[in-house]
Amino acid sequence: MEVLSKLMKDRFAMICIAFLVIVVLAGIFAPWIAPHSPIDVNVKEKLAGISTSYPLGADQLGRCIFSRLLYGVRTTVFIAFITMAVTVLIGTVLGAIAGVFRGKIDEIIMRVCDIFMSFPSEVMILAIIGMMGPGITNIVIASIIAKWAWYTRMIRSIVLKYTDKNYVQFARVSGFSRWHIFKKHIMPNTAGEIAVLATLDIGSVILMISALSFLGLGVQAPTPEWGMMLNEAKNVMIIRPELMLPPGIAILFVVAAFNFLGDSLQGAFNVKHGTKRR
Amino acid sequence: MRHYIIKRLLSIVPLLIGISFLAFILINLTESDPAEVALRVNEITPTETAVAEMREELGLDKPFIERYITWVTSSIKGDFGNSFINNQPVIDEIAQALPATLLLALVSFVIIIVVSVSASIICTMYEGRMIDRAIRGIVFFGEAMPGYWIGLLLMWFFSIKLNLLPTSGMSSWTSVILPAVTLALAYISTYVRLLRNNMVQIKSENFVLYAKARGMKESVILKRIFKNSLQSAITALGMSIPKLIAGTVIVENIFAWPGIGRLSVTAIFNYDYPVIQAYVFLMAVLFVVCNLLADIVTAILDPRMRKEV
Amino acid sequence: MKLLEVKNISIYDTQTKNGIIKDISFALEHHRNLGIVGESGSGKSMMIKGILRLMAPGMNASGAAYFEGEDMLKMSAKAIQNIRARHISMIPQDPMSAFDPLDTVGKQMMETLCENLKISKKEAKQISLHELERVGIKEASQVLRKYPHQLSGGMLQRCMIAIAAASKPDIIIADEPTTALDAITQSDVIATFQRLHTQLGTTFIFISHDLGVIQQLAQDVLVMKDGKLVEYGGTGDVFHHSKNEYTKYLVDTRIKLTRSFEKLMREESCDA
Repeated sequence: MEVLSKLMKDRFAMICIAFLVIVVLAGIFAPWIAPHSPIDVNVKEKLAGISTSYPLGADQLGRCIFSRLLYGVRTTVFIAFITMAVTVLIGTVLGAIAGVFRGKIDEIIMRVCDIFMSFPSEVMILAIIGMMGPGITNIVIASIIAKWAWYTRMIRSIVLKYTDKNYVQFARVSGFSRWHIFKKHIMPNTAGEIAVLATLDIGSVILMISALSFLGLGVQAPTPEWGMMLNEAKNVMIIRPELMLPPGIAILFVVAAFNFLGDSLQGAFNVKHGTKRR
Repeated sequence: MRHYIIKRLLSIVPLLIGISFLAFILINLTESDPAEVALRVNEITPTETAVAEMREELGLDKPFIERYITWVTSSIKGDFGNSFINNQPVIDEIAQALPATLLLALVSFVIIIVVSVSASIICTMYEGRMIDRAIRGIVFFGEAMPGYWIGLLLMWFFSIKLNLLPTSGMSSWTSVILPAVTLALAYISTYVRLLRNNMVQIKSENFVLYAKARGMKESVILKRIFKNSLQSAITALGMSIPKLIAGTVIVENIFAWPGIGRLSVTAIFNYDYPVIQAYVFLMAVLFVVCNLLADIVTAILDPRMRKEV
Repeated sequence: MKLLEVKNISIYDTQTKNGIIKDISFALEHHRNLGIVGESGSGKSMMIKGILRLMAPGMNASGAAYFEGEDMLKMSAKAIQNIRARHISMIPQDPMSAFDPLDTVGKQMMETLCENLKISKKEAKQISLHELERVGIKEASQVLRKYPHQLSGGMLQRCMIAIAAASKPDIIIADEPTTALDAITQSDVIATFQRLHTQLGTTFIFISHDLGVIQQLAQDVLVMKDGKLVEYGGTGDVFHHSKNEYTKYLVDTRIKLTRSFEKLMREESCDA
């Protein structure tokens, strides 16, 4: 729990955590907080200015921007969470198998990773969306396919790093089973580092999901999503440029908070990875 | 050295096979029958006979491996089939769009190098001082900013507010400025952080201490630090070329830049599989080749590698 | 006048405010070599870096270090660079990493000489060859063409000594000059130091945890522990008549080590 106390002392990291918790809560309780429905069109209020009933004004279809922003947490941020969770799960299982059992299976997993990593992830995602068609489920699947290899490799190297530690070698010589050693000694130690990796990377997942939605390849209208809100704002850029601000700032702050938190966690866990955020 | 290059060259052969295989099976992931899609996009009712004919025309009735080999051999010759939409050869469409993308990528590449190299040198010179911290602060937020948002803000400010630059298209030479800057900004942050950290780390190495201790000038020492950090910089920049070209997808769509990024997104909306497949294949090959070149250049720069002649 | 006079130097981390060197004073007299001893981590190198203003950013030194009547800690960057180039040469520890790995040793050596002595490339090459031969390198012109990774630690150490000697400084500071070397090279290097001392009249400061080396080379000795000065005086006095517990401990460990080593050697030779 040394990590926790180190993190507690980092005031800015605590601010980031507080901010992210608020964002997540706002997403969960969006139906209760939001003053309006995020999808109801109200032509009378089209492009309305800031008022008490429309805290951030209304868009070109008269939808409340504040409400759309709140519901947008559910798509942009939560979908990034799901993507990350599945990617890390796959990476952990395969990375652990490769790292613990070594030998042929390790060789096979690593070669497959090589091939997947030889595609730039942007192209990989585009390719999969291209074949499966636009849509949010497809984006999630695409980014998992694009990212699992990198996680598998990183997690394998973390597992190997701990396998080489003296006490693990000792446990091994003492005749404990591989599974027992993995559960008792390797898993708890690697968990922290995997958390660091995931935190550092989730920002880029958010950026990617919103970028694809911006292009119209991801979340489909009328579901509110921050990237798509920007795309809609683009169409009224000449008359109401300020509509570009709320979704852009929301993405910027959430991603910045995750990145900063990731850096702090990395410092607290005292780990260094060759490649930080990709 | 020659040994190393040959080894490195050989190592990409299985990689290329893997990539082409992956690019090929992607089309088989589709939920819909390509033949049916090909008919639908041309507004032909997909009757059973029409589908069967189309399948034969596309070679879909042949076994998987045979289809793969046919596809690879013709791809190598530059034949990626015809677009479902306008029935033009895919290679022509790509050849038409590629120069625009290359121009865009080249201009932003130059911006990236100039800005990130000079920013990291300034950071290294004034490590820990105000200007270093300021640049690192900007870089931090730069990494969290969505590239397309910056693009929109730039477009609004320079094209609409100040009316200085064209909003979109490729009408005059000034058209390239906004898309190139937008594209560059998305990458500069990453490279400044990478280069700066690398140079600062090298700065604390023993040979720098010794150079200072024997009274060398600051500029001479900085040159040595820079030369030593070049290795990782080149690796990173080598990777950045294909990433840049892949990154044009978003920028080209914002600024209506007629390059392959826009071509591929249009293809996705139209389910134009041959175009997508060709795009993916070419990108992956480009990625592998750039990586290879970066590795070889780094090896040439390092006398420790040269020894293994 | 003293050659170098250090008064109450303290070094601390500006962020954590931790003191690393605490209030050390000493003086260097002409032709009297000084040895600085202490366990690793006692701050020996840090103190020297502090005096020459070679500390990493985030470290700060207070006090004064007078060279020719001027306080080095308050000099302009240009002036301190000139002192490092012409008057006080430092040879850092770990010769294997002391040269830029991407450039030949000769290029780095000649670049230094051109810069410091304001001479042409051709002259620099001649001086380099001459100096390398003087430190006992036979194929000097070949060594100049080599990259650092192609030379041994002993060779690189000698190259550094040659560079230092070429600019004929008043003081040469050698940080752990023998640690990275095997026994034979070690005695060669020590002989070179002794020759430079007598022939050129250079005064040396040796930083070492090897008391044997210090005993051979230094007239005065300064003992450090945890960034503080423990004892300071003539080498003979300090090593043989010290009243200080820590110094006695250092000397005793050294003697014990030598004895057990000798014992081991004897056993080995008996076994053989």
